[in-house]
Formats: sequence, structure tokens, C-alpha cells
Amino acid sequence: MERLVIVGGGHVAAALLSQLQKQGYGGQITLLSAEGTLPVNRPLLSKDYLLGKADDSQLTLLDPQRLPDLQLDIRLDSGVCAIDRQQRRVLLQDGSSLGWDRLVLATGARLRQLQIPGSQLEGVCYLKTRADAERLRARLRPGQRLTVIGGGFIGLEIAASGRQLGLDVTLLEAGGRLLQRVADAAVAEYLAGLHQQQGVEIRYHSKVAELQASQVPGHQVNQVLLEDGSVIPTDLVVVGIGVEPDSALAQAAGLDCDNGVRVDALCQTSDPAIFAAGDCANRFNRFYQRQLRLESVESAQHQAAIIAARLCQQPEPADAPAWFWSTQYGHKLQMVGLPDGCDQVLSRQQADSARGVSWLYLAGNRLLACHSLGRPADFLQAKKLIVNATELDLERLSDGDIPLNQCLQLQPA
Amino acid sequence: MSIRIQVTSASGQQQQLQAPEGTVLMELLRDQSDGVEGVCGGCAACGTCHVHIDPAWLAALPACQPEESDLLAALDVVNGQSRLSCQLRLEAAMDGLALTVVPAEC
Repeated sequence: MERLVIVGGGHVAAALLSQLQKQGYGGQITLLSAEGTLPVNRPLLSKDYLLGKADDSQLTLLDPQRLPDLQLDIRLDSGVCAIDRQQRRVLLQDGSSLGWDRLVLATGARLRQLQIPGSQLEGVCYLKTRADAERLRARLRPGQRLTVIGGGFIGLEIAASGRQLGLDVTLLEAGGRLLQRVADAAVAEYLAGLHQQQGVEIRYHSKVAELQASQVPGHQVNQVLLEDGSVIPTDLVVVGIGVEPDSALAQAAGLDCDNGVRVDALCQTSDPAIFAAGDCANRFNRFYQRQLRLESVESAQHQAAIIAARLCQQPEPADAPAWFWSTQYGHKLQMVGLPDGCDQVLSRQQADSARGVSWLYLAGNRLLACHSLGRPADFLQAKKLIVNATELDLERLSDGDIPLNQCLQLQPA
Repeated sequence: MSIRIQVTSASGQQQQLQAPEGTVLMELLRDQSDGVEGVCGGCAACGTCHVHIDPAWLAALPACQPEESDLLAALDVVNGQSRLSCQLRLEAAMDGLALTVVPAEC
């Protein structure tokens, strides 16, 4: 019987097991997770969970009772320290080892750590696992001063949760605007406005030099020192400065790595018996026709579905434009496509209302991406227009009262 | 108490499922081989858990909140029976509920 070992207990693992159950996989499966809990619905951790609005069933991505047909052994707190490709075994941190015929690396990403004096102080938090979220939630008390370092999505979501819980929030961004890596300046400016209206103080060009503690009783952070010499008093610091693909195991095992574990369109690494998927995988995307490493739930699920299809000799699902979402103060930002290569960004909203806005990233008259706040129709229709590379009428596009799918460029009669 | 629901898959297959009261309908349907995708995990962000409710059962369900209606309005095969299954939690009044899964649009 085929022995399948999955390393990593996040969204890939949960989606893969669910797909294997659906497709009737008959092998012996072992899931090795370094985390102490079953796979959790990670996007909820920075939002609903911190706000006390997510119950256990929503938080748990994987319920083993719903996988009755799988031969499945789930081992939590089971970190893997090496892959032996010759013997086809993984070596576990507890000293044991486990044989496999097929191996899936779903090791995710590591949080980038702040490397400055004081970063080890009490009250300096990160957010990735459920345990991190539990610790953070216990510290988010009304009236406390929260300093968020990093103006990416995770930082913005934590800032929003902090405000909603009644903390004073300062957000420090090293660059000149928010979401530098992922969104247009117009989107960043709009979101910055939203946070400022809610009372978040955003400070740009703010590089942190040091985190400092009070004299007595000791190790609790109580101020942030910036490179320009200014000092921000604080009770709590949350760091959200990005992630790095966790490809250490793959690298040590001699698999091709380059910005993550390099895999082909079918998620196969340079060793045909080993797959990789999710945040750790730099995969050849057939829709974009290039190697891409995406950090998103949708990508993790899609790649898990590809691996499941291969393991069960089923046709694999086709690639589509990447998509993402974020929620802040109850506003839902839905994003589809990748803006790279765009030559123009148009915004659209309804003339007579403040109900939402979408930004369209265009190359000529074709849509590359759409970032949509409170206009879900734009998001869903944009997906189809991107897939089909539909030629659009830019003038109609700017009119938010016209549905996006009625903005097609008409062929000359 | 356990709630029974009658599910017709997108390919026309019928099956009866049951789950405890309080279960999110999307989570139950997501685990079925011909079920919904439910990519966003239940925050009404993706529209991939669309179902058509049997007309006899529509009145038994809680009303749509704005975020659900907005997303439904954006789908192609939407009609008066459309709901997002991530916004529905099984409750006693739904015992026997009949629905049809609508395939994800893209």
C-alpha cells in the first residue's frame, strides 16, 4: 500500500486530506504537523478570533470525523528535522523516523523576525499560529497602547482588530505608503483613510531602531525607539513584516529551491516522488506561464487539489487568476489577479453613494487585476474578464453604475 | 439534535446528510465529493458555496444579511432560491431541508 507523508499542518494539509477523502484515496496517510493543534483557518486568527467572534468549529479546518474513509494518522507537535531521499524516510525531532513512498512538503512560511535590540522583550508578539493568536488575544485589553510594525495586510488587520477592541493603535510603516508590495497607491491611500477615520495613527518612513523596556520590573516592552530618534510609548508591539518560504528541509535534502521549493505545474519537486504546495512552493503557474510563489489560501487549496488529483489519477484542475481577501472594520477587500505589468489603474464607484469602490489594473484594454472594496460583483465579474482576457471599453469601465460585464469593447460591425 | 438535509449534487445525485444543530451548512457540504468549494472558509468573500434551496424550505431560513445579498447579486445563475451555504447554520426548524448544489462559477 502506498505510504503518503504530509509535512506541515496548515491549509494545504487540510485541503489535501479533504480532497483525498472525496476522491477515495486508498493509501496510508501520515500528517506530521509541528503545530500543537489541528489545521486552523488561519485568516480568522487576525480578525474574528481576536475579536472573539470565531468559535471552534469555524476555526478548525479539519475534522478527522469527516474523513471516515481515509487511513489517516495525524501527529501533532511532530516537527520533521530531515528528509532522507535515498532511504525514503523522514526523520522526526523526537528521534524516530518514518518511511514514505510519496512525500508532500507543505511547510508554509516563516515569519520574518525583527532583528533589533529589544526584539525579545515581553510584549513583542507575532501572529501565525493559533497559540500566537491566543497569546495576543489575552493581551489586547481596552485602553492599552498597541504598536503595530508593518503596513501590510496582517499589520492592517491587527490594527483594525486592536481598534475594534478599544486599544490606542499606532501603525509604523518603513516605506512611504501601505501595501507597497501588493496594491496600487490609490488602494493604499483609501485604506489608510479608513484606518485614520477609525483612530489609528499611521506613521510612514518609520524605521524601528530599538524596543525598550521599563526599568522595573524589567522585561516588558514600554517604548519603541525610531531611527529618527522619536519615541513611542507602548504596552504591546505586534510585528507583521512579512514571511519567508520555509524550504529548509527541501534545501537540506538537495531539492531545487529558489524563492521556496521549486515545483512544476503539477506541484512536483526535482524529485518525482516529492511534491510541494502552499506558501513554501514556487510553482510554474500555467495561467501566468511563469514560476510564482503565492501566499494565499486559494493558492494553497488549488495546489492541494492538484496533488490530490495526481495521487488519485484524476485530471487536475486548471489554473486561474490568483485571488485574495482581507477584512478590516467589517469592510471586505477582495482581490483577483496580479497587477504586475499594468499601465493604468482606474477606479469605479457608484455616482450617488459611498457604497464601495473598485480599482481596475489594466494593460491596454485588458484587465490584469481588480481590488474591490464592498463591490463583490466587480470582483466576481473581474475574475471572468481576466480569465478570458476580454477587451474592455475603458470609458464605460470608469462608470461604476454599469456592471463590469457590460463594459466589453464591442467589435466593429 | 441531529439535522437531516436532502442534497442534490450539481450532477443530479441525491443523498441525505446529517449533522448536529449549529453546524455551518457550507462545512457539511464542502466535505462531500460533489459538494461546494467554500474557498474563503465562510466569510462571504468568494461565492463558491452557492446552493438553491427547495422553495418549500425558503421560509424556514433566516433572512439574507447584506453581505450575502451583495455577493449573490453578483453571481450568474442566481434566482429566488439562491443562498450562500456558509451563511446558514443548521437549526431544528431546518430538519428535512432540501437543496441543490450550484457549481462554482470560476
